[in-house]
Amino acid sequence: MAESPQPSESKPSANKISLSRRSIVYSLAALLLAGHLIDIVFFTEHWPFSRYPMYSRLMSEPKLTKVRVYGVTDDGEVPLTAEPHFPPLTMSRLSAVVSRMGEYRNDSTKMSAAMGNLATIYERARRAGKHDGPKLKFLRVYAVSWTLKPWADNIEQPDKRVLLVEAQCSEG
Amino acid sequence: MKGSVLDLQRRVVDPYLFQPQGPGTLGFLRLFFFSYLFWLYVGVDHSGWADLSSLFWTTWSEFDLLGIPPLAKPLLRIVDLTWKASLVAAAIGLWTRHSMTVSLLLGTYLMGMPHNFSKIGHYQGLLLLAMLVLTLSHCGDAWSIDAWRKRKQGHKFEPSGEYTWPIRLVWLAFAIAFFAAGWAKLIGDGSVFTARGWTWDHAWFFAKEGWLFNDNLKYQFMLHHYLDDRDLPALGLYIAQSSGLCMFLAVSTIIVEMLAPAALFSRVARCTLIPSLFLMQLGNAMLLGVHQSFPWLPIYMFWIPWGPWGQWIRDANLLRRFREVGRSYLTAAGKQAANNLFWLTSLTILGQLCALGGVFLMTEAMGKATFGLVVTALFMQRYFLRVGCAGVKPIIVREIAKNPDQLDMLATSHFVITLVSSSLVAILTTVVVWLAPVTTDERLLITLLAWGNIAACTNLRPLFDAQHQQPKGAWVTFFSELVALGALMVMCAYGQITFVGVGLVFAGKWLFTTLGQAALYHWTTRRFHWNFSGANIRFLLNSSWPIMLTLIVSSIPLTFGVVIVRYFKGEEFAADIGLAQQLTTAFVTIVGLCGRVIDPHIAGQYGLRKTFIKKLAVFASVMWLTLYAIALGGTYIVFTYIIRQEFSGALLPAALMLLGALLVDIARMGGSYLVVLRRERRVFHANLLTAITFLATVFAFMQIHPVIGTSVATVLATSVGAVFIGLSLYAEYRNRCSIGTPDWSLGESSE
Repeated sequence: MAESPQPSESKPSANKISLSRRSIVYSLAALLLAGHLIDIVFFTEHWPFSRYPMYSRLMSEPKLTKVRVYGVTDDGEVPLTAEPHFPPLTMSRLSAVVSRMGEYRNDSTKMSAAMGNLATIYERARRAGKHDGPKLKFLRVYAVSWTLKPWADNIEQPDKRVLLVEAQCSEG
Repeated sequence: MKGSVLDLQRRVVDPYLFQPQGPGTLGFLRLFFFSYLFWLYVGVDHSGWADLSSLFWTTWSEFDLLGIPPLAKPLLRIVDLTWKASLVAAAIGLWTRHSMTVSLLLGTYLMGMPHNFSKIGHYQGLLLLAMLVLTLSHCGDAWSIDAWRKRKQGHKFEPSGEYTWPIRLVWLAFAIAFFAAGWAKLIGDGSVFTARGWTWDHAWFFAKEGWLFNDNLKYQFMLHHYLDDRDLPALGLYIAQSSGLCMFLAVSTIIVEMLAPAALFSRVARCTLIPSLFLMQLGNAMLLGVHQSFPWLPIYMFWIPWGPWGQWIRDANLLRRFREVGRSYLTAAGKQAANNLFWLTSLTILGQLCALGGVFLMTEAMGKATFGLVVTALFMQRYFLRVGCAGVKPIIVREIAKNPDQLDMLATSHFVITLVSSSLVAILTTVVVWLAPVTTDERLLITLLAWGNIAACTNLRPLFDAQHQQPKGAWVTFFSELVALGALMVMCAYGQITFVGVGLVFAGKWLFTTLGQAALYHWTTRRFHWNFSGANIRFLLNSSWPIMLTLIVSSIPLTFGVVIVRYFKGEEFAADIGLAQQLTTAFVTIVGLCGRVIDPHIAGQYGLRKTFIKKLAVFASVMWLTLYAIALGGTYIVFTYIIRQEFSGALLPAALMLLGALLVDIARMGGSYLVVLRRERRVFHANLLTAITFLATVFAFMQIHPVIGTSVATVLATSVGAVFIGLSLYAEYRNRCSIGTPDWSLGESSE
C-alpha cells in the first residue's frame, strides 16, 4: 500500500484524477491541518478539532480533590457513580457537570433544579432496572480531597470532605 | 516562487497523495472502521442526553453557536437508531456513499452531543474526521455489497490514487493529533509565553517544573487509582515507585508524540513510532483505565500496509499451502493424536477452569494472609507429589510403548512404587509438620494434603497415556475438579471455608480421581492382573530416580518461590506470588497436555525422523505462541474483572511467570528427546542448573521487590535451562552425525 514503486515522472499517476477532485482532497487536507493548528496555536478547542491537552496539566504535589455525588438513605450515605447511576454520563463528565453547578451557588432556584434533575435521572434509571441502588432521600455533592499515597491505600479515608450542596429527592 | 510551489506539488505531494493502488485496502479499512464504530456505540443510548437539564448545557459549545438544538427524547432515539443502522450499512457497503453520508451527519450530532455538557472529550473528534475522509472517498469499491453488485455487472476497479489519498489524510489527522498532545504536555497552557517571550529561564522552567522532569507522571499513575469508576491493576503503582522510570516514560511519551508527523514520510518512523504510540495507548488503557475500549484502533489500522500483505498471501498461495500442510498431518497416527489432543485439551481446560475457580473463590472468601498460607501449603503438596511419584510415570509411558507385552507387570510396579513412596512421604511430613512451629490449622491442612497425596501419586494417568486413551482419564479428573469446586462453593456460601475444609476437599478430590480412573481403566480399557516383579521395580527405580530429582528440581523455579516468599517475606506477598504461580500452573498443565500426546510419538519409531521433527517444530511454535497470547489475555481479564483489587499486584508477576512456564515447556520438549536418547542425566543437569540459577538469584531480586523479583528470577532461570537443553541436543546431533548413526535427522520417513 504505502511503499509500492514510485510512479514514473513522465506518466504521473495522479493525472487520472480530475482537478476538481484533487481540489476537494487538498481542501480537506487544509481543513484538517488548519483546524488543528488554530487550536494548537490559540489554545482553544473547536470540536472535532482539538489541541489534545489531556494530562498536560501539571501536578506539582500529590494532592487530589474530586467532586463526588452521594445518595442519602435511612441507613446513611452511599457513594454514587456515573455508570450506572446517572446514564448516559461518564464519571469524568458527571464531575464536570456537578462542578458546573458552582455557577449557580447564588441562585437557589437553579441549583435545586439542577440537583433535582440529577435525582430524577437516578430514580428513572433505578426504576428501569439499570442499577440496583436504593431509593434516596437526599442527594449530596462533596468536594473530597486526598493526599496521594504510594499504594493508594487511603482511598476510603480521604483527608477532607466538604459538603457543597444537598438537595431533597422528590417522593414521586 | 509560484512555479516552485507547483513543482513541489507535482513532484512530491501528488505522488504522495495519489499513488495508485487497488481498492482492497481502503475497502477493508472502511469495513473495519464502521464495524468497530458500531461495536463501540451499539450499547450506548444517546437518547439519555435529552434527560439532562439545559442548566448543564454549555453556552460556548459549537452546537450553541450554530443554533443546533438538543432534540427531544423520542426524536433522539430515532436519530440514534438510524445512525446505528447507517453504520452497519456503511460497514457492509450497502448504498455505501449514502449510508456513510447519513452516518457522518448523524454521527456529528450524536458524537458531538456529550461535549455540550460541561466538558470536551477527545477521542471522538479524530473518529469523526476519519469518517469525513471516508465519506468523501471511493472506499465502497471493495469489500462491499455495492462492489460485489458492480463486479457482477462486469465493472472493473483499476488501481487509482483515489484509493490512496483517504489513507494519507487519516494519517495526517492522526499525526497532528499526537503532535498536538505532545506539544500540549510540553508547554502546558501556554502561560509561560505570555510574559516576556522566550528566555533561558523558560528552558530551566521546562526542565525543572514542566511535564518532563518532575513527579507529575508519578502522581498521574497514582491518582487514577483514586477514581471510583475503574478497577486498575497495581502495576501503575509499582511504576510510580520509581521516579527514574516515570521520568523515562514522560520523556519517551513526549518524544514519540511530537515525532509522530515524521511517520507521514518515513518508513522507519512508521515502523517505530506508530507501534510505540499504540503501546503507549495500550498502557494508558491498562494502567490508567483511559479509553479501555481502545476507540482509536480503527485509526491505527490505517497504518498497516495491508496491500503488500494481501499481495504476498496471493503470491505465496498460502491458502493452498496451509491445506497441503494440514493434509500431511492426517495420517492415522496424526488423526488419533488430534482426537486425543482435542478431548484431553478440552477436558483439562475445563478441569483447570474449575481449579482456578476454586482458587478465585478462596481469594474472595479468605483474607489475603490466610490465602497466602493455603496457597503455600498447596504448592508444598506439589513437592510431595514429585517425591511420591518417584519419577516413575514418564518411565512407565516409555516402557509400555517399547514393551506392550509387559503391561501388567509395569502397571503393578507403578502401583507398588507410587504407593510405598507416597506413604513414606505422608508419614514423614506428618512427623515434621507436627514438630514444626506452625499453627494447628496450618498443621492440619498440610497433614491432610500429604495423606491425600497418596491418591494423587497412584493415579493411572501413565497407563491411559501409554495406550493413547488420555481422554478417559481426563473425564474423571474433570468431574473430580467439578465436584471439588461445588464443595468449595457450598463452603463459601455457608461461610465455612476453613483450613481443614480446604484440606478435605483437595484430599477427597485426588482420592475420587484415582478410584474413578482405576474403575474406568479396569472395566473399559484393560483388566488389571497383579504381576509383581522385584527386578522390574528395581529396573524402573534405576531409571526413574534421576527423573524424580529432575522433576523436583525443575519445579523449583515455577513453584518454590511461594514457599521462599512465605517464609522470608510473609503471607501477604506469598498470596500474590501464589496466585501468579497458580495461574502459571494452569498454563503449564494445558501446555503440558500437548507433551503428553506428543511424547509417545517422540518415543515411537518415527520420533527421530527429520520430517517428524520438522512437523513437530512447526506445530510446537504455533501452539506455544497461541497459548501464550491466550494466557496473557486471560490473565489480564482475570485480574481486571474477577480477582479482588487487593490481589492486583500479582498481574505483572503472573505475566512474567507465564513466560517462564513457556520456556520450561520448550525445555521439556527438548528434554523428551534427551530421555528417548537415554540422556536422562543431561535433562537432570539442565534442571539442576535452572534451579541453582533461580535459588542464586531469587534472594537478591527479592530484596528489590518480593513478588516481581521472584518472577524475574524465574524467567532468568528458565531461560538458562532452555538454552542448556538446546545446546545438549545440538551436541548430541553433532555427535550422531559424526559417527554416522542412521537416525536423528538422517532418515527421510514416509510415515
